Amino acid sequence: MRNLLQLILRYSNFLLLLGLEVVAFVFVLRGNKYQQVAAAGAANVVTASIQLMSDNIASYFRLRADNAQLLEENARLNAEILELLNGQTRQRDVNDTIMTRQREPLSSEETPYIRADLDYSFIPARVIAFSDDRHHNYLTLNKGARDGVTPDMGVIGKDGIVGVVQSVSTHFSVVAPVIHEGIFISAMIRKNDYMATLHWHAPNTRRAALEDVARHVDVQLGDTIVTSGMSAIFPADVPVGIVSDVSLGEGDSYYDIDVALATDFNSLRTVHILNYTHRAELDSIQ
Amino acid sequence: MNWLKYIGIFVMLLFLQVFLLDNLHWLGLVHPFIYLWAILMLPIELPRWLQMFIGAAIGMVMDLFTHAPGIHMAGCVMAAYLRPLMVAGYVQDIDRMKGAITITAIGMGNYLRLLAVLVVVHHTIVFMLEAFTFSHFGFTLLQIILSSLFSYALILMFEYLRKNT
Repeated sequence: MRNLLQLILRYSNFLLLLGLEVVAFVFVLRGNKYQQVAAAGAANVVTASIQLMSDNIASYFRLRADNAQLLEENARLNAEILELLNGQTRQRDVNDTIMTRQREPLSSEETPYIRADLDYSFIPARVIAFSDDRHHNYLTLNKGARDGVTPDMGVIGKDGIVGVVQSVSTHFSVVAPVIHEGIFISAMIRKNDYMATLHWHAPNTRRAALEDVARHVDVQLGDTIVTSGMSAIFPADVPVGIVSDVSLGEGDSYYDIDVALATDFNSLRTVHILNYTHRAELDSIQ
Repeated sequence: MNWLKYIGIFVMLLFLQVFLLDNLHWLGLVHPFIYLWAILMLPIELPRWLQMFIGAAIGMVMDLFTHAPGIHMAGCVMAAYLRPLMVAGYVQDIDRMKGAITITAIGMGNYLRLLAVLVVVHHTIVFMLEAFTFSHFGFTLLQIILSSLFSYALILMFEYLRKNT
C-alpha cells in the first residue's frame, strides 16, 4: 500500500497529464457531435462580441467588395419583384399542386430560388467570423435568439445554400456550413428529381461530393444540384452547386460525383436565415 | 514578472491571435498559433501541477474562440507538461530558477530547441485532433509543418523584440 502511494506520488505529474488529456479528449469527442456550442453558452456571447468588434474593424477594408455584392443582390431582388408582378409565381404554384412539377429554365437569374416557397420567412444576417481551413468549419452570424433565430434553421446566401444553425445566444448564432464534415445535405439532381446526399470533405472548400447516386441514374457534367425540400430546414430548389466531375468504376453501383459548390464561403458576407413558419405544426405530427 | 503583467501579455497575445492570425486563411494551410508564447513565459517556479492547470485554462480560452472544445486544451496541457521537463535538462538546478523561460534565462541554443519541440508537439496535437481522421493525412501533415514554421518564426521574433526593449 505504502509502495503504491509512493508510486502514485512519484508519477503524480504524469498522471495529472493523462487525466487532463482525457478530459480534453472527452471534450473533443462531445464537441464533434457539433451540437456542442450550447455548452459554451454564456461564453459564446463574449467571444462573439469580440469577433463582432474584429469584424467591424475589418469590414472597413472590404467596403468596396461588400458594396458590389449588395448591388448585385439588389439587382436580383429587383428582377424578382418584376417577375412577381408579372404573376408567374401563381402559375408555378398551380403546377406544384397537380404534381407535374414543370421546371422553369435553369438559369438562376431568371428564376430566383428565393420565392420558391412562401412558407418561409427570412432573417437577414451578417457573417462576423468564419473558418474555412478546418474539417469542422463554422460561421458566426450577428443575429440570435432575440431576432427569432433557433437551432436547425437553414441559412442561404445570394448564390445558394450556406448551412444550418447549430446554436444561438441572445445576439449571435453559430452555423455549421456545408463545408463541415458533420453536415449532410439532402439534395437532388434538378433535371430528374433524383435524391442524393451532399457531403463535404476537407480541404477544398469549393467542391463537395454527391453520394448515393445509383448507376442507372442519368447524371451529366454541368447538371444543377438543388436542395430536395425533404426537410423543414430548406425549401426545395435552393441551388447547391453544379456537377463538375462524374466517374463510375467498372463494378461500382454508385457514381463518384464532384459538385462545384454554388456558395463561395470565402467571400460570403451577408446571408439569410430561413424560418419555416409551420415548423411547430410539422414537429408536432412527425 | 508579476501576475498582472502576465495576464496583460496573455490578453495581448489572445487579441493578436483572434483578430489577426485566425483571420488569415492562407490557402487553408497556414494557421500559426502564437498564443503558445504565453505558456513559455509561465513562471518556472510554479508547481508543475499548477503549470498544467494554467496550460489547460489557456487552451480552453482558445477553444472558446474556435467553437471546438478540447483541441487547444489538449495541446496546451502537453506543452505545459513538457516545458519544465525540458528546461530541467538545460539548467543545473531548476529548483532555484525563477521567472519566465526566455533566451536570457536558458541561452539561445536551448531556447531554440525548447521552442521547436513545444511548437511541433502542440501543433501536431491541435491539427490532428481537429482533423480527427487519418484519411487526409498528407494535408494535415502539411498544415502541421507550415503552421509550425510560421509560429516558430513569429514567437522568436516576439521574444527578440521583448529581449531588446
